[in-house]
Amino acid sequence: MSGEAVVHIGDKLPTPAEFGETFAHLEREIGKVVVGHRDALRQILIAFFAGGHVLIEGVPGIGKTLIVRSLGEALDLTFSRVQFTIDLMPADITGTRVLEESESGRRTMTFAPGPLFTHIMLADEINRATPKTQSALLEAMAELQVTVAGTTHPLASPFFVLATLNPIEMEGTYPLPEAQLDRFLFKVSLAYPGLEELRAIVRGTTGATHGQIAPVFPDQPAEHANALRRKVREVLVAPQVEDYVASLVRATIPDVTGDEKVKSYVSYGASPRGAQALILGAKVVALLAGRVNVSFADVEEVAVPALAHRVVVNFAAQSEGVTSRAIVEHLLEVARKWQR
Amino acid sequence: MDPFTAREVPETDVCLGQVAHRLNRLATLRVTFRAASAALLGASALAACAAWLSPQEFRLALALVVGLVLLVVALSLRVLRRRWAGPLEAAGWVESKIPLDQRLLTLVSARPRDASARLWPELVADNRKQLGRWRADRLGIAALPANVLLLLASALVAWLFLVPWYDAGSLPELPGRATAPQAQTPGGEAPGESGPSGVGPQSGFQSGTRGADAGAGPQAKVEGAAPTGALAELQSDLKQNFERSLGGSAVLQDGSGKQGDGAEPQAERGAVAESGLGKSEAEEGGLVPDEQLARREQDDGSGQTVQQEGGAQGGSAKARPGEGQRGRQGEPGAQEQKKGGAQAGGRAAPGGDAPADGPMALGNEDGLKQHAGGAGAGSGKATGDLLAKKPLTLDGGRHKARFSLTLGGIPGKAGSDGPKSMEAQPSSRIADAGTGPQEAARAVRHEEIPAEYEAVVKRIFKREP
Repeated sequence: MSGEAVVHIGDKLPTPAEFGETFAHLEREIGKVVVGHRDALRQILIAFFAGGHVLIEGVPGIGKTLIVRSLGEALDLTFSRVQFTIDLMPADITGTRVLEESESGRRTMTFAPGPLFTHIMLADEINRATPKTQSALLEAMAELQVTVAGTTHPLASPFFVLATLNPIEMEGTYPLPEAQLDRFLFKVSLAYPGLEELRAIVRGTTGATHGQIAPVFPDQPAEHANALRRKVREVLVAPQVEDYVASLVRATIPDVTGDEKVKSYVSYGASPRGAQALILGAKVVALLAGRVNVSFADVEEVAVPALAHRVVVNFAAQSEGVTSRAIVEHLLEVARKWQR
Repeated sequence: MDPFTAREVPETDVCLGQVAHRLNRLATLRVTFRAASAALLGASALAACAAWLSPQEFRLALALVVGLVLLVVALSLRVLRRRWAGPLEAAGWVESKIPLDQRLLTLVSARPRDASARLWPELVADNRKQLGRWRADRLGIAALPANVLLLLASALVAWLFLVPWYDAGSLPELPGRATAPQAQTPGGEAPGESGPSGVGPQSGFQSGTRGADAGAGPQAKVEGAAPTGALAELQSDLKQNFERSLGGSAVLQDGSGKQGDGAEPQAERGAVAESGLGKSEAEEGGLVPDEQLARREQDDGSGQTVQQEGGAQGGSAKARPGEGQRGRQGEPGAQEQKKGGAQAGGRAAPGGDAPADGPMALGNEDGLKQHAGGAGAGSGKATGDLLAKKPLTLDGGRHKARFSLTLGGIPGKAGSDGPKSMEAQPSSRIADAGTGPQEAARAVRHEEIPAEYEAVVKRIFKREP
């Protein structure tokens, strides 16, 4: 991880074709272990290259942890896993100062990095930790640094957090407040595997051999990953597409939208982070399509994972079974006419 | 290099410029065609209106049509201005036709800072690759807008209703048609009256049917001869064109039948008039109730006075055979009929100054009336043939009256033989047609006579004590 290597790789950004090849390679390697969840895996990878974090929602045993671990192995990046519990303290994830005694007997306070100091972190069942601990994690996600005892410690780059939510067993949990949900670029829902996928899971995990994931980047994986992220930022966006994104995000806000469905069922709309998430995710999609510009279709593809968790529905919607995902899909239909 | 965006994409810009040029040309044609269609349809509607509306109503219709046309033109220009395609609009249009995933849109709408982006060359190269998909010659931009069909339809309507189908002078010489002008020649000196529109005698009395009931034979001449102002001329021209047009003729013939321009209807009327009962036939052609009333008065065989009144009214119908018969009835009397032949607008043509002729006598019940009928029989078929020749020898059947009748009975200018005849002409009672002496006389005639009065009268005439 030398600085020279970073500069060298940064000067030579990969082409869209190289970006797409790398992305496909990652999907193939992870697919050796993770059966199914193609769409979820694609969204997770998009969020990774867009520089965001992902909240994964799924029932226990569906492969959330496996996906994250496989991603770390494929990228050949450092990986840590923290099981969030009610007694987990902020210092448990950020690190703390400990008293160390040197050989000469001199005692000094030394910072002991927590599990946050890694490239890829799995925050398992994040809603079981107290809000205090959740906030510590979310601050690190937003600032990419940790301040302990007045000293700021930057996190590794790339830094990618995958937090999981268990939609059942909600008793004794601390649901993430909307402000903290907003910190996640995407929220990805994992569905139950299909019959064929289930057979493949059983066949692949109960045998004597398991799939082996080979690193995608032979050397300097972090630099390669960062170069790909910078490439994403270079993608061009037409003003019309920006207007479309802004209109779409504003349409989710019940106070300013003209859509009756939003007015009826939405309490809070998406924040500007939602627009950023749309653009960044769409840029990755554009590169995957071999383009260096964002299209309306790119935005549509990432709209649901980028906006659904940012749109907070009200009681009326919950009582009528109207989900935030349905709201976003409805707005996408309405917004088609804005694509001019 | 684009000085504004600092972009260097000449090939794409050239193609985009071609697209914009074609789009703008198409939009301009669309607006032009729409405006032209509106104008043609408006003119056609005006022509139709001119044949039916009074001058006041025509002015209103003209203002309405002109306003609508101007509104269409203004709206079209506004739409054209709004849709005028620049490079950005052209790029958007191309994107809507060819799925380019906003490549072209991004290229065209790039800001200066985008032009310095690291991926800008890749965007330019990418667009160059896509150029073959959307070159202007591959987009299928129509050469003509779809509303060219509307323009063609409008032109067809205009051709049907505005373009004269025939010349009045080139018409086949049908007896019925020639009747009216001929009727004026007997006076010889009194040329056939035609309105300023020149439609022929009928046009002057187009209102003829209406005018007949108003008893405005001479009056109608006065109206037709006084087309003052541009609007009147416009209405006259439009009406003339409409009546002479193919569509106008069809419409008018299939309508009330009051239009006397068509050869066939006139001929039919002329034939009916010959029988002496033609009035009733002519009435089907559009006589109004007052004419019916006049005929009823005639049919009841009452006094001559009544017939004179009816004749005065019927004078306006000289252009029509049936009305011509009414004119015959309307002759003031046996003595005046000789003069009235010319006065009646030629109804007396067949007989001229001569006493009643055969056909005219058919309609009369006594000798006295036969005299009167002599002048009015001009519209009869038997006289029609005779009448048809005279006008054709003059100026093709189109005559212009050189005299006018003042409704108040003031003698107007007459033709060569006019002064004498005109002076003897009775004053018109058009104004009193509906409520004047005619009405009073009719009321008297239809009054139930009490039995005791009858006894008194008998006693008086028997000079019995």
